[in-house]
Amino acid sequence: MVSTGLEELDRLLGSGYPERSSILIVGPPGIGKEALGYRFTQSGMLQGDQCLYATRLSVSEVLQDVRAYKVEPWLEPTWLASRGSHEVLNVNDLAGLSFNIKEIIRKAEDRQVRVVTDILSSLLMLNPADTIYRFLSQLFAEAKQHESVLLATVEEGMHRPEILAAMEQIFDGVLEFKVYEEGFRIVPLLRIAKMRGIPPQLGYFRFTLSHGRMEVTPYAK
Amino acid sequence: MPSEFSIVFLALWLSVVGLFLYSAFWAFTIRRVLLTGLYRRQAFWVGAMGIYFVSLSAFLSVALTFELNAFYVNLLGALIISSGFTLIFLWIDSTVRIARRSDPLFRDTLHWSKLRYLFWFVTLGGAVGAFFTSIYSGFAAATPFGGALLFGAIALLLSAKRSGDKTLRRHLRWTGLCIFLLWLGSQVQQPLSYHIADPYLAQSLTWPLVLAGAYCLYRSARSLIPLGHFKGTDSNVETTPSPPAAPMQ
Repeated sequence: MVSTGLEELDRLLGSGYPERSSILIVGPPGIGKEALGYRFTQSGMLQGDQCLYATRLSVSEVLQDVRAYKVEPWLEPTWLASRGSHEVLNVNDLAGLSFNIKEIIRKAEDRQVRVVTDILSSLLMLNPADTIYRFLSQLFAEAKQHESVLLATVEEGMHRPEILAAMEQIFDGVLEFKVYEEGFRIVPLLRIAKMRGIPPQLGYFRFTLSHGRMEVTPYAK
Repeated sequence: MPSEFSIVFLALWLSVVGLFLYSAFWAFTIRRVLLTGLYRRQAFWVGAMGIYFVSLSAFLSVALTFELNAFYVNLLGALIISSGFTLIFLWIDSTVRIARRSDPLFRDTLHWSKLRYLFWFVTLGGAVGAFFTSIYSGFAAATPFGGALLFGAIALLLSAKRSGDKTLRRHLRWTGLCIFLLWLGSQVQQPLSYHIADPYLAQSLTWPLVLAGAYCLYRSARSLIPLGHFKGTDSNVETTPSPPAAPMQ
């Protein structure tokens, strides 16, 4: 298993994400999906893993977020960003993107590789869904030949439910973030919708994420 | 002696204040569950605007109804109106930046990332102008945020068109509509006050627009994030989950 970088989440998943897996994190904007990516990257860098952060934002914008989430110490991963990185990410160039990610995975040889990306929503909006399913399937097939875990975030409100449902089928694990209204309260919830090696989970967990700690408690209405 | 319109005006005023406060309540409640700084700031500004409009509407209704124009009233009006320029700019700035993040092409609406410094300068100029106009010619002479509100509405409508996020698009549309209605209210208020002798009647004609604006701010606050609702039959959320089993690998 590969640590998520968050102790509580590791415990929930039975010590981390499965090896050689692809994980999808679905949720509304602003809820903290990115924080899981930052923690996962940080944990990998501290262990000496090869980490790639592919983002549609600029490096400086991501670093601003990393600081806001108090992810410390932060060691620089390999960047693939719209600005500020050696290799520039172009969401319109799927072939180039695939080549860059695969090259980094191949270069890692026997090292554990962690790939974190927030570009799925952009890719889905700029390309037909079928093209993206194929792109991901090919990328995962290559990645699974190496010691790698790929973690992608996708915005819940930006895509049709059937597109998201089909997308979830491609991934080995899916973590869902939701926000529920309960009277005059708003409750942030987390669900392990799917995870290879773990029986399906029906229940929701209430979560809080602050100062580098995640607290997760089973939620009953 | 108050006219029969005073009851209509009072009912409208209470509804406006209540709706602005309720908008602020929801914005601050939603802010508590948001973790990303940009989205937290956006929720904060929606809440802050709710509170600000409560204070502005309280001040304007009392000062205009009782036709107060002492120096201290004008000074208070100057502070409230000129601070509004800054608050509204910060609100618009936050909203446009949020909208940019939800644009799949990450476009810079109206070259905002560069021009925001110019707009900031113009807004501060407007705030200083409104401050001195309020002091020397009376707060009623200062047109509150005409340009700032209208520019904000344009920027938000453009951003809404480009946003790929359905929830945010709703939020931007409600915010844009709110800004437009408040702008319209601010433009109508002055001519009506000059031409209609009964201040209650003049305000009773203006405040339905403000009430509609307040309702839009409420809808804008509620659409900051997609909110799910529990259904009584939803077994997924009513059962307490058991701890996950050990991994099978």
